[in-house]
Amino acid sequence: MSGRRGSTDERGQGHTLEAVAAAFLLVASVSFALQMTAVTPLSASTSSQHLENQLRYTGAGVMASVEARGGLSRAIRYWDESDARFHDAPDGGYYTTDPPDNAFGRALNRTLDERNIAYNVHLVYEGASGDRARTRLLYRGEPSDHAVRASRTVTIMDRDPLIDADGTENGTQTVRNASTYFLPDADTGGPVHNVVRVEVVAWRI
Amino acid sequence: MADLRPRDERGQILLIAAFTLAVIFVALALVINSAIFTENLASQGEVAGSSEALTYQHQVRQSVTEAMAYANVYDESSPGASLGASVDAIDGQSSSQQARGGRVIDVSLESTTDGTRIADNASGGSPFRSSGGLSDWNLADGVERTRNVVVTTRHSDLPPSGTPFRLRANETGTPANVWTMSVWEDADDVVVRVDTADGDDSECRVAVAGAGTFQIDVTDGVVAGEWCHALTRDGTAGTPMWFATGIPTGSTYDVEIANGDAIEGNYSMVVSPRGSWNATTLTTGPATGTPYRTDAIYGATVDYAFRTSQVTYESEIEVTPGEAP
Amino acid sequence: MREFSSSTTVAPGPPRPPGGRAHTDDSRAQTTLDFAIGVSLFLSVMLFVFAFVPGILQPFELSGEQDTVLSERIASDLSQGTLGDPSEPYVLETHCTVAFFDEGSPSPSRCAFGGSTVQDRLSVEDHRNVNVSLRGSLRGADADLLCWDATSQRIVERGSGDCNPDAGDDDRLLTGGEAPPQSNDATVTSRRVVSLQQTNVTMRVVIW
Repeated sequence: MSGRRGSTDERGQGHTLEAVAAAFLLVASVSFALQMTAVTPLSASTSSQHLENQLRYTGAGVMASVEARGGLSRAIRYWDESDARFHDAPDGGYYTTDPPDNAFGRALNRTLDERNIAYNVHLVYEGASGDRARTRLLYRGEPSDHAVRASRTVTIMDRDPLIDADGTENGTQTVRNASTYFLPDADTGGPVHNVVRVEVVAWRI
Repeated sequence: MADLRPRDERGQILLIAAFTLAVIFVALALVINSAIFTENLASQGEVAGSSEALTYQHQVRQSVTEAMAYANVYDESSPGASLGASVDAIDGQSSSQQARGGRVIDVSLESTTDGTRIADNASGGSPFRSSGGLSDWNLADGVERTRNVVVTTRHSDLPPSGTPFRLRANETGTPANVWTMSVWEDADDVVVRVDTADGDDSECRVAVAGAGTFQIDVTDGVVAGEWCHALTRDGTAGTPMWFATGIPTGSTYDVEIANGDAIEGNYSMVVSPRGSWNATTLTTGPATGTPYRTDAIYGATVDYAFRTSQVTYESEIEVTPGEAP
Repeated sequence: MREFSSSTTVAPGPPRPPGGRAHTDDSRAQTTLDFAIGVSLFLSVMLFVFAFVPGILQPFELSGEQDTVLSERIASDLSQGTLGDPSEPYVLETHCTVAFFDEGSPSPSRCAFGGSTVQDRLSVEDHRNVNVSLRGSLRGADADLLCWDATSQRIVERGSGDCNPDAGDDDRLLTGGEAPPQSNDATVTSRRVVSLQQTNVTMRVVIW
């Protein structure tokens, strides 16, 4: 019958095409499934979730243990009035390679530097015009994509003295009467000078 | 011979099989995706942020502690108003800073407990005598609570072991129930010995180098920056040795100094209730002489609220910095 | 005379040209070449897929997956409440910390843990191995395991002369649980920085 003409041997190309299409469909679906699963959050890599958690908790722990002895407040007041910058800070006004020589700097050096973790320290406070101002305390470069941040808030009062380079309190200069101090008085009528948030941004190198 | 099925009725079996497998693989991808998401959530640590509420509560407590110390020392004529202004400023600044992170913070002063601050801050230090010149005298009688007892002195200004300086908390009406701290120097060390009213005693030695001043923080238990077991907990069992241990709760006690001539330096403490200071041995203010007393805030209760999109946390924070547990 | 191909013993004639009657292909007993190519391609792809798909599940077969989460939780609990005051996180209380590492003695009632071994105190099942240790560099040198010196009641480093845990007085190394395997693969470590006796120490929790 002529109607049967389109069966088997003329259908050869049809079979091939069908088989090729089926194979292609299979490969496409497998590659789709594969996109999902190549890397999980806990795969071993330099930026796995576990390591980021460790960094965040380490930063928070360092700041908490330093602040338990008042070290963070003293680090913010470790200011050289005559030089208009932090004690022994290089020309940019912020520390770069060496952390400050106070309890906070030593704690950061001992816990983070030893483990090849780079960090920046920023101070966020209310600026002179009421907006939010940000100062670098220590800057080591642009953080990588998987950097984490730990922060802690410290209150500075009007008559808190500045800290000299050797760590003792300055007898005459206070936060309020030091003319070059970077922190403005956010509450001019009251005893609070400013509320500063110390942020430590850490990442693995 | 049997009539084999013609090929064209075979249908597209290959394609159907491929479709089925493809659907199965897509479903597998969905399952794996949900497993990864679960792993992500599980390994993220604190997701809801409730530990953030506690951490920030601790920071608020420290800020209010600073404000209270400032109010007691610099605004002694009206410490309550000063503390109120400070808490308002802290509230305003914290709110605006945390609002940028999606959190609402609310801090307000609810109530304060009055107290008296007794201090001797003569510059350069002075012997611990009363305003009348007595060497053994009472600072306060009928004290219920004491906090932030700090003694600042130099190694060279300490007495030898034969005549130590003593600070006592003596139960009113029961002279046998007394907590005593004795301080003396022994070669390079500063020795602090505590005898509690329960009969326990302990001694700690801290090496203090140099001629500069150092602090003995009696209620916190820190001597020259080092933790002292004689002022906190002693021995493997952790026997409590804190200030006024052994005086039954509910009784008042008197704070006394013995052998105040032998030591030179400064000291400060805050006691409650306000009227418990001894009018014969203390002057009424720093302007009238030393040692003096001023009105002070003993403690404050601060309302604290922390809200994010996932957590609402409210609590009352008791701020009594430096109170022995 | 007509020949019937199925009933005579005469040899079949030459193959019919294409376009002939359909049923001649049933007896051809040969597959079409195109079909063969197509199906073999399909079969090879399918074999490849079946061999490959189990590899997709490989990241999920890691046996120690939950160790990471467990060590994180233990480290968070210990540093933020169990060994100290929950309202003052990351600050440890000396006596409770030292009592925590005292395996074999009952826990003090005022401390926030119970049991007599580190496994009990952390509520970790017996088939998991856990090690908790405190390290610090008190003298400015490299970090070393810390030790409680009962005579001076102070935290010292293991390498300093004051630490004698075998000498009969109550000196104690601040480490608890099993000893971690020396070759470090297959262990998961969590670290925290805490404050103990006014100094910064690092707490390490190792699970394997």
